[in-house]
Amino acid sequence: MAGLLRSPLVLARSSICASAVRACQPALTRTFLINVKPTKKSKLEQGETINSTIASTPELKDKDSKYRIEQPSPAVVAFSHRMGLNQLKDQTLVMRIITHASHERVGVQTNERLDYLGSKILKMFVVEYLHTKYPKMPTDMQQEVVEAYTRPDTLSLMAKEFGVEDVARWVRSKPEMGHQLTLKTVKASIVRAMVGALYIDQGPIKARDFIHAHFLSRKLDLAPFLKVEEPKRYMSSLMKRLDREHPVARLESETGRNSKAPVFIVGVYSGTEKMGEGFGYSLKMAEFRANKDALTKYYLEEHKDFSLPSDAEVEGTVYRPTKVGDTQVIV
Amino acid sequence: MSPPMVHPILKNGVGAFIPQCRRLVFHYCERSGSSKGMIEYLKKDLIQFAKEHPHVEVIVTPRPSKHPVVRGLYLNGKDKVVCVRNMQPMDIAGKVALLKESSGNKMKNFKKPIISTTESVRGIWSPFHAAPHKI
Repeated sequence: MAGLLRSPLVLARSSICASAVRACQPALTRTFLINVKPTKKSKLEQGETINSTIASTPELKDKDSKYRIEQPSPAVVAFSHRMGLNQLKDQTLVMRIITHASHERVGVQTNERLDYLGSKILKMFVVEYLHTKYPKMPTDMQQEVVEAYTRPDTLSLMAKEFGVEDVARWVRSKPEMGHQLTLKTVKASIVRAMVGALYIDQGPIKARDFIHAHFLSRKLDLAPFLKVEEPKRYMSSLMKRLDREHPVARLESETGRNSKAPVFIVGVYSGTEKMGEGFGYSLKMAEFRANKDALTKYYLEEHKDFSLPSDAEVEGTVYRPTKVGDTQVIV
Repeated sequence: MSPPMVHPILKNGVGAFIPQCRRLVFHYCERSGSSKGMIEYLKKDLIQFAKEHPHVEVIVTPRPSKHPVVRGLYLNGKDKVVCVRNMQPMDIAGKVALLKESSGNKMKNFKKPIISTTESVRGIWSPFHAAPHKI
């Protein structure tokens, strides 16, 4: 190991990473001097180490391509293993994923195309999942939920959890420019580019698995996305549309009606079936909540054990289409 | 005023598990006796460790005239440092495993037996829904 050599003047910082280990002995990837006066000896040693560094990392050049193949740094290799990007057949994609379009250099490929592709693929699989799992979810609400999963804010937060900040390559825009590029944008683009790269290299199913594992496994409470201004009115329209009995609110339980802190529990019934329940310190509030609860239960009904349309691509699985849900009622 | 934006929250281990340790830095001194075990560890075991854990970036840096130290850097931006002076390679391997498996969060005393972001399936107990009390 180069770093262990007795060299009081040269401080060698040798990084061992998977790729280096695989290739040969741990290569000395970075060498620098710390607080050393430029003496003849040190210059000599510096020259020697730099030369040996260059010699130890052979420049791989693809003659067919005008782009040079870059050697990923140990941090990038660690990142790619963390995110499972080591399964990519084309390993040059890893450097491409982490390079934002602002990092424009001669012979360096950026993630612009992967980013765009990834954004579309991400939305597609998120929509597919939500559409199948929640067949009755209103369309405008679905748009908002998809947005919550895929907007740059969310992606940049995720990128932080993936450790993208460590490896991202980008150039801050000059202060005189009108539109300022932020790290947030860059991080989001890298997350989308990962999806795009997996899609193009490994096929749609691997990309879908990645999205399911990293995006859709996250916890997101859907109830606040259902926005209803007047739940009582809405509920009665819904029952009319479904050709069921008019909803009736019934007081189920109460305490301390004449006290400072009363509690009422109200249930909403259509015929004999209880649709929802709510509580409140006034009858009105409890009824409002009960109607809202009933609507949430109706529109956010989950399908269990469903198969996705993209399952038709997977060999050995049978795709059973789920019934497309009803559209939202017009009040 | 619009409500604050809601983000999907990571539940690490559900769907995918992201190892939280991103980098391990090994500091050693070439001349001090306290680094003897560390140098032995670096020579013998470290390459095998790096091979087994490709998601951790391993950096070896000399730090002359100081005790040997292993520093773990984590995805949450924090780091943990363990001094491994006068330790045998086996003990150092234990410390390295500790750093590797740590989440990087601050140590804290858990006072409740269960910590969860998921709400209870049974719900909160309500006197209105329970069977009435009999005297």
